[in-house]
Amino acid sequence: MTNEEKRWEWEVVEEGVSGGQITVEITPESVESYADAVRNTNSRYYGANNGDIAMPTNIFSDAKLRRHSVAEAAGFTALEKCINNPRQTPFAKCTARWFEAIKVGDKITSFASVLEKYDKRGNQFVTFRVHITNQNDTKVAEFDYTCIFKYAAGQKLS
Amino acid sequence: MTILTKNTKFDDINIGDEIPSFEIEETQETMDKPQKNQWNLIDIGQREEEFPRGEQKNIHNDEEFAKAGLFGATVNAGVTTMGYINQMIELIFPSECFYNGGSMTYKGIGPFRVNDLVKFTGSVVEKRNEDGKNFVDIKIKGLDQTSRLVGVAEVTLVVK
Repeated sequence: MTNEEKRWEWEVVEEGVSGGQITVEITPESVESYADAVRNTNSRYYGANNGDIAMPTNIFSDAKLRRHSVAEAAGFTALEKCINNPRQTPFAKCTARWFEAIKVGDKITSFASVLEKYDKRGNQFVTFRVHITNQNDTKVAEFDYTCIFKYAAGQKLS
Repeated sequence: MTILTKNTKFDDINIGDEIPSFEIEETQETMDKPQKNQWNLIDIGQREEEFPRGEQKNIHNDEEFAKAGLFGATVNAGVTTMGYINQMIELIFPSECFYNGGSMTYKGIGPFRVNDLVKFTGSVVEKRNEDGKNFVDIKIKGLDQTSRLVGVAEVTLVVK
């Protein structure tokens, strides 16, 4: 249990470290489930057939960030996953880029890596890049997800 | 001022054209839905087998846990808001416009909380042809019912 509490605080985050890969198949159910979760009523996502496209932002579901996997690869425990005093690392910004269509029937493989970490006005940020390829090893999309590892003392957003 | 209509062609788009506004409200139930649909379980870093349903500590679904955090209450996930902006764009342009070179940047300015009704508005800020593709750049902002800025987005689409 001691290892589980080796906290992945901003100070020990190293740029370049990568987490493990996962592969998921895009199915009519996964496309529909995501569309339903974000309340998109576009009929093309309900009852989709093989070859139909997924909602572009479906990548956040199909290629999850899994920051805990990156932390584990670095030998640490993600702050959200700590047993003692878990802490969230909230969303700050995200840029997604799409290079090829993602369709029902595709098998999507993804992994995350630490792109950069920086301090801005006392707030400490980490940006992850999630790399996404399909079954042909073609890069279909990527996203850079920046989260707040620690915010300046006394700050409260309301 | 021109408000773009569905499937407008590239040649008919002008800088300054607006896209129809899009309003959406969050409730705790709507914020719980992605988790119920299981798609954010892994992302939040807590595995279901270790933290059974209802015991996962995150700022989207756990009100007590969220109270101690930066926002003081549950908030939606930033990538969920990006899903809403995707939906807003789809009202005018097909999803295919994101693929093959499109992009979306969203920056959270303030929390999107329970009972917030956010209205997204946007307009075309640039159009260009690069490498044989027609790109349209759109800037979007989201204001809540008190005119508080919740977030801003930049979307680039590949339009025929």
